[in-house]
Amino acid sequence: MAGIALAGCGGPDNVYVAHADAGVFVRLPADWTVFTFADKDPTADPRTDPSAGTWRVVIDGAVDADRAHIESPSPTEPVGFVEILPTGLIEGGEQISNHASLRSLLLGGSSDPLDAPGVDVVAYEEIDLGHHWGNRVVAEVRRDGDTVVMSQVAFLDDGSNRLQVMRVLCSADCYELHEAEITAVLDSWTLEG
Amino acid sequence: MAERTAGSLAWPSHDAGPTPPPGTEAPDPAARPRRRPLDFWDRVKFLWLFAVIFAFLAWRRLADNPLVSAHDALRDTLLSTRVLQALFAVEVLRQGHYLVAERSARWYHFVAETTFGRWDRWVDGRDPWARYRAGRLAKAALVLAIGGAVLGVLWDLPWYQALFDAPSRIAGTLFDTAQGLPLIFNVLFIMMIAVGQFVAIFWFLSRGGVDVYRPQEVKTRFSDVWGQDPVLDRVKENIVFLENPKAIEDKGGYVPGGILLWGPPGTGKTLMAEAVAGETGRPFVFVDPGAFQAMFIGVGVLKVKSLFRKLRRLALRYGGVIVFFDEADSLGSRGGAVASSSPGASSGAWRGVAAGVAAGLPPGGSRFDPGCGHWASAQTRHLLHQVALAELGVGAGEDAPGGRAAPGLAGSGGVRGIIMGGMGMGGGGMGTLQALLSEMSGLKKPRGFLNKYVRRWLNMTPKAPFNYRILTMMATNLPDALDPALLRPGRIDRAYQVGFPSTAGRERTYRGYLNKISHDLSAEQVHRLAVISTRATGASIKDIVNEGVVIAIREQRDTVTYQDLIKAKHLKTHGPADDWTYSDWEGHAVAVHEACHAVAMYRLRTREAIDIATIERRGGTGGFVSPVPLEDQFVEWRRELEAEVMTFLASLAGERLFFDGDNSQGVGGDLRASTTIVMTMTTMHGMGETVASHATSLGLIGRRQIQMIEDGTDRQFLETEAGRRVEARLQELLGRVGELLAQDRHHVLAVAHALETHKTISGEDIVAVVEGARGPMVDGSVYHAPVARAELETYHAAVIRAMKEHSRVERGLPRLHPEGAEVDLVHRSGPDAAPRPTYPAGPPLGPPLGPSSPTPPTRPDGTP
Repeated sequence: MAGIALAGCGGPDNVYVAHADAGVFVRLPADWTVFTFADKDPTADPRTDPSAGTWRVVIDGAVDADRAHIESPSPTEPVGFVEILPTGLIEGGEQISNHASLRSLLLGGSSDPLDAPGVDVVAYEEIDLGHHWGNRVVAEVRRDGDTVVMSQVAFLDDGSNRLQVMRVLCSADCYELHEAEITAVLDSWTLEG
Repeated sequence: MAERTAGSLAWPSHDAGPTPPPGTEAPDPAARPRRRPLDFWDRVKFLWLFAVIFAFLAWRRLADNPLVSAHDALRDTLLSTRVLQALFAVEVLRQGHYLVAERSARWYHFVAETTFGRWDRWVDGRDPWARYRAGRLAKAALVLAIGGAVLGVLWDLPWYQALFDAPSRIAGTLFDTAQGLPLIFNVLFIMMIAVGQFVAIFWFLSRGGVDVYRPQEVKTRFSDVWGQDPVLDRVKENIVFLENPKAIEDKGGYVPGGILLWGPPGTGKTLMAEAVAGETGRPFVFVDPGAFQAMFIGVGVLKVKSLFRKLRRLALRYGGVIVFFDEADSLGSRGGAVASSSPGASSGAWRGVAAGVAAGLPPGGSRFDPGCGHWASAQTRHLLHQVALAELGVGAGEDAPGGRAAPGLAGSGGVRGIIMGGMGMGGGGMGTLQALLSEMSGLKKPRGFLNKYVRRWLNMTPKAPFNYRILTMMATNLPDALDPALLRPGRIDRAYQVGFPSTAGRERTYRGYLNKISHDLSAEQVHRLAVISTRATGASIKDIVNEGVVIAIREQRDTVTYQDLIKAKHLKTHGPADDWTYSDWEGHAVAVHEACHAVAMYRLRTREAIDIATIERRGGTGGFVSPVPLEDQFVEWRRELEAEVMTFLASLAGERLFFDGDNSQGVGGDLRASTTIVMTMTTMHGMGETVASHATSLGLIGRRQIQMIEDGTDRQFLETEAGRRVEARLQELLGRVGELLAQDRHHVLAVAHALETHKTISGEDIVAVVEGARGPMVDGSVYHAPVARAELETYHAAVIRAMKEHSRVERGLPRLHPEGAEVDLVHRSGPDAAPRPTYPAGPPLGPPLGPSSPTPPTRPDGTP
């Protein structure tokens, strides 16, 4: 009883992003914020329509967390999202069938970060879990004089039916400051079969 | 001081000041009750349950998310279980209160009596129906609230929206095959449908058989019940208590819960119940006697439970309810085979005998052959039926003084013995009786799921149920068939015999029904009808009056006469005669046989009058003389029993007297009955030379006395000393009645003549013949003229001659005229009559009766 009471008195160790059905789990620092679709009218973002099988949460490491931070081209605090999407709902989703196509999700087009101009891949790793496969990319992207460090973990299931993506963005200064936290978040990515 | 400390019992341990005067002591708090200590498990079970639930939720958080730490799982669980924590806190407080209440009587008294007790008393003072409805409403609201909260959590919706969405969501889940429910839910759903089918079938089968009448719906009133005033007063008393329960409850009593009306059929039991329904301000529930005869096991039980659920609701709503079980033996008997509506071929015969015993009437078609003993007293008829039952291997009931059957509610009776020979199941079959017993005595048990289970689970005393004022009325004509458990106080508190109405009651009943028709009966004639209608019931009187109307209509009259009702009564009592004509001398022999009974009865029986005498054959009975008691009779005395035996023996004495020592087989039944009576007189009732009762012989202790005599193992009884005393007493009584008939020889022949002439005559006609008066049908004065007497002797001698010679009777039946008593002869031998063979006369078949045996017959003036 005392232990339980003490547990209630202290703050949390971490906050968590979890989608038990998809088996997606992420551990975030305790001072980060998670915006679920319930925090906002889900109809405002078609990608968060649960009836379509999509799911998306926004994560924000800012003290004054706000969903709008995700729209910032060069966020000064780590911000990102975790998203689950049926490939059938993605334009050109049927072409996502190899590591290059997963990597290209980072830039939002067909450009592979490994070959794209203005993009320096800091770290890259391909992962095969058996039931899912994907890769992890950390890249510095220079746009309009700003440098943004984009970290992405993207996985597809064996049938290429569902895409699980987590992306964290941060300006270069921000990344230098929060690299350890961001790396820990990326490391915590867990995908259960 | 030394004395104070010398013994701990001498003084209290502290000085409490002056001793208060007796009667003014403050109640000792220590003497007050404290709460009964809970055992450890009861004290911690809810705390344990909450802890288990919490641990489960925390474990689920850990298991659901492989990244979460134990600390975070505990913390998140703690933050998301505020309701659980609140319940935990309440339980801690509750157990704390219990802990204190177990040690402090003051605290216990304060909480139980002052706070909650006050609330309970306030609630108890409210209208029970309002409390019931409010309770139902509160429970419904509670269920909705809990259901909404649970569904809201499950569906992540506000509780009210969860409730609103629940029907469509649940239906969608159950019936949308695309949901892909887990297999266990599919299995449960199929099982639910399978079980639901049975529930629906049994629910449907448990309907019906119960009619509810609201106050004022029934028009029958107490004033419509005639001839049962004493019982009616008793029944009214119960209704008064039900209408005004405070009258008895404020004095510490309680409203009687059950009334049994028992008695012969047609005595007005059901009518009385209808009158109760019409008079009461409470609902009246009529239970169809066949309603509990169910095809399937358990349906009867469901019906009983459904019935009492309805009764409780009605009792609450209207402050009381009356339920009436007609023909209660069909439900309240463990041996329902006979009492049921479907007796088998054999049980039907039993039933006839049983009904006869219960009604005190001769059992038609039973093995007991009454011979011409229709005139036997009610007690004797009952005794003879017991003998018949014993011969059939059926136990007879315990005897009340005088041999009258006492259909006592306790103890086994003959009727029960009969019934147990049947298939013997619960009343109505298959646990129905047991369910009825349980419901009737279970009205004080806690009721309701919350009260019975939840409060107990919470270690709280279940609340007492409402004071359901349910008056159960039952009616039966087979009270001994009812299970004793049904009749114990608390279930059936009062049993009233609705017996045959008294003379005044019958007269009142006659007047009631006669007032509805056109008749010319005087008050004295109505009274006479009532007197001679012994053992008539309301139903039978109604039937007699209606038959009188039929007779009047048949004779194209608008007004019913006294004679119409007499004819109707005879028809209803004895049934129609067979279409049968005796041979010329046999008719005279039967007439003399019955005339001997009639004259002996007229001379010897003081408490009974003759109803009718007839020589019209009815089945195996050639004729009979039927008596009517002049008063209600409880016991018979030795003198009366001797008179009864002599009346039986009059047939043998008379046949030997008038037929030269010969007698017919027709006396067999009379001898059997007279022997039985003398046996019981001498061996059981102290009416012989000895005192000891054979009913308590070593080998017969605990056995029924009738078995002692007639169970087949005691046939050698007549060879014993006691048997010889019986024979001697019979011989003595035979001689006495022979002397009586010898002295009344002319009256016997006169009555026989009247019988031969009219076939059936009334008791008043017999009196007229003997006394020389004018009767309703026969002018008796003609028989007292010397010429008439001589003519009757001559005719009788001619008959005897014809009997001996097996020839035709030479003389016809004399026709006697009142004026000068002239005589005409009815010549039996017409020109078209066939000649009859003649045979040589044989010797007399019986010994002469000594001085009273007038052979050959002599005229009154002494000439042969």
